[in-house]
Order: sequence, then C-alpha cells, then structure tokens
Amino acid sequence: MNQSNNLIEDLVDALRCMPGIGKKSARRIAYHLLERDREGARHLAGRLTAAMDQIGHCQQCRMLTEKTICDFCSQERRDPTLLCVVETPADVYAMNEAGYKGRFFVLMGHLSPLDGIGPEELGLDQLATLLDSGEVEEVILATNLTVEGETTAHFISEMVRARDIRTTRIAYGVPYGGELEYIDSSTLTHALNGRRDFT
Amino acid sequence: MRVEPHSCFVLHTRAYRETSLLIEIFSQLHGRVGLVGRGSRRRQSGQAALVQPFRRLSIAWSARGELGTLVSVDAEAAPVALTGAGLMAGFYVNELIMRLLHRDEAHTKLFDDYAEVMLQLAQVTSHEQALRLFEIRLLEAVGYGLILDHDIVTGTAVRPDELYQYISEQGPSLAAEHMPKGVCIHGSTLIELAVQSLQSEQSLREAKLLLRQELGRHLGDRPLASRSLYQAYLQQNRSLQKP
Ligand SMILES: [Zn+2]
Repeated sequence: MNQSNNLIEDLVDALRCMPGIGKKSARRIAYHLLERDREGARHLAGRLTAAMDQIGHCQQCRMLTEKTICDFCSQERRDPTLLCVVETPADVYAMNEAGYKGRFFVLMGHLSPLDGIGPEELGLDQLATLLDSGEVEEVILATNLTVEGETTAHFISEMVRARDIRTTRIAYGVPYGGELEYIDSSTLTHALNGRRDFT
Repeated sequence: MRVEPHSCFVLHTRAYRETSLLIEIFSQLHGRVGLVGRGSRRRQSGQAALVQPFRRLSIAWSARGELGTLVSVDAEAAPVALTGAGLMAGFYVNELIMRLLHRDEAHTKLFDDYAEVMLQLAQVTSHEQALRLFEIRLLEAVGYGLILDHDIVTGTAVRPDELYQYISEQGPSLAAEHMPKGVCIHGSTLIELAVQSLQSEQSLREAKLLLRQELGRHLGDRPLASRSLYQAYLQQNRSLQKP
C-alpha cells in the first residue's frame, strides 16, 4: 500500500479495496464522509480495526467469529445431527435465511487443483474430526453448482460415506419463478438429471 | 483480429477484477489460448454457467496482445458427465495440457484426443488406460513421442517376453542384468502401448511408471496438484472398501 503526501488521495485509494468500489465511487464516499459524516466514519474505522484484529475462525466449523466456537455451533436449538457443508460465510447466512436449522461446516473455498487448493487448504482434516465425533447423522453438501463445487462435493461425499453417514446434495435446477425457455441449458440439464417422483 | 466461433474446451478459469474471468481454453484451431471474459461473472451475462471445464463449447474472441477478449460462448454439447474419480482425472488432464502446451500453438489432432479422453473418463470405470494413451499422444504432440517398437541399441523389433530398460528420452533396450537404467518394462507392455490396448495389471503398472518418467522430464520440479488430489480421492475410495 503506497502512501502519497495527500491524505484525501490515500483515503480514496484505501476505499477501493472494497468490492464494487471503483475510483469514482471511492472519491464520492471520501467526500461524503469528510463533508457530512465524520462521526460515522470514525465509528466505521473503529469497527473495522476491531473486526480485523479480533475475528478469526471457529475451531469447529471454520466460520468467521471472534469466539473460539461460533454461535452456529454453540446454539442449543440448532440440530447437531445435521451438518451442512458450504463454501463461504455468505453461504451460511443464505442457508440460514432459507430456514436451515442444523449446523455448518465452512470450507472457505472449493477444491481447485490448478490453483493449488487441495483438501488441506479446505480444512478437510478438521471436517473428518467433526464427523468422527459421532454426532452427525446427515451431511448436506451445499457447495456451488460449478465444476469445482461438484468436485468438492464428490470428494467430501467419499469421506462421509467411509464413516457410514448419510450424504445428501442440495437439489438444483429451475429457479423459483423461472420460465423454462429462458433457463440456460447447463442448469436445465442438471434439473433434468435431478428430477424426482412427483406426488 | 477476430477469431470466429469454433470448438473449444475451458481448461481453467480464475476470477479477475470484480466481475471478469481469466479463462484458459484449448481451442481446436489455435491450441491453448488465454482470454479475458469481461463481465463473465455477472449473472446477466449468462456466461458463468457455460464457461466451465469439461464441456465442448463454441467460443469466439478478439485477439490482441497476449490475452484475447471473449466475444461469445455457446454450448456445442451437453457437459461431459464426469463424476467422482472421473472429475479428478479430468482436472489431471487439464493440468497436463496447461503445463505442457505453449500458448497459441495449434494442436488439432491432440484436440480430438482430448475430446475423446473426456468422453472415456465419463464412461469407463477404470480410467487408467484412457489416461495412459492420452499421455502418449500428448508427448507425441509436443515432440517427445515414445519409441515403442524397436530396441534402440540393436535396432531389432521389440519382443513381448523380453524385459527392457527405457532410458528417458532415448528409448528401450534390453535390460542390463545388473543395475538396469531407467524404467524396467516388458516388451509386451511396449507392444500394447503401441497398439493402444493395455491388457493386464502388469501392463497398466509398467505403462504408468514409464509415462510418469517421461512426463516428469517436461513437467519440472513442481508437482502436479491434480495428481495428488486424484490419489487422495482414490485413497478414500479404497478405505471405503475395507471391511
Ligand atoms: Zn462454528
């Protein structure tokens, strides 16, 4: 991170580390904060520092948390026999919003051998420990529907099956409110392959 | 220069900036090519679902400088239905292509071999033979074809029941009684490799050692990440079969 002798330019540059923020937006935000909301900006700076210093990963599920064991793992009302494997912390919130009531394991990525990301980088030894604890009765594979996500799901399903635990993969296909003729062929192929009895 | 739509496979993609992709493809006409897919990760682009490995696509791009710019991508076929070990093997093949082909060198025959091996990985349960034959064709394509039919010292035809030593980048000769050099391989395996049909466990094992030796010379020191993944996967699979 280079610093010029110009604090405003430094701020604009720093703001650009946020996703979706280009040079123009960064400048708009910088001026807005300086002209209209210094209090809010100070608060933000404090929160950012605290979060960056204190948030790590849950020792059980790898979710982002400032605690040793995150809330998802420690809440008693969550079903400990269900374990949902997802790629990112954002996926945890998405599954939670969708009404899922079990626990999670967060890979923080997916298998991508050509990028050097293997089982170790995804903490799969930690997942193995969790599975060996004997509490889990079903593992729900909710990795993304990409080739890498599917590869990850296949790899983990072998780990799970070796322990005689039920494995399921989230169903995928036609989005809610979707019209068939506008759906891309890859999605439709998967929807067709994953069809089920209709009663 | 605009490159008109034609058959290609995606070898690898990587996120680039916020909504774009860096895409490595294997093109039927131009070999390995690097492209930038501007906005390809935006949902509205409809490209994210298509720009995936293991599917025959029709891709057009405009070429300028080292990386081309993706212009259009359409499906030519349904995705190759790889599962389990087939997926791991598919990545292995892609990594070999990435490591051994230079960019922008046409390999039209190897492209057909690639399409074929992908179909085989989706169909057969044992991928070993399909992988070995592809490796041989790959070495041939990059100018390091193996000598499989004659003894390089005597010039005589390889005999099935003799044991040979295959010295890297040279070829087979009768194995020395003491301390043979290179990989030891039966004549029968060399002959089976030449006619592209490995018949026994022994042939498969010897062929694997030979090809690992020959590929290793061109891959350098960096290990193949997809190979370790493939092995880790098979390891788990094996532990499943234990009583
Ligand atoms: Zn947790």
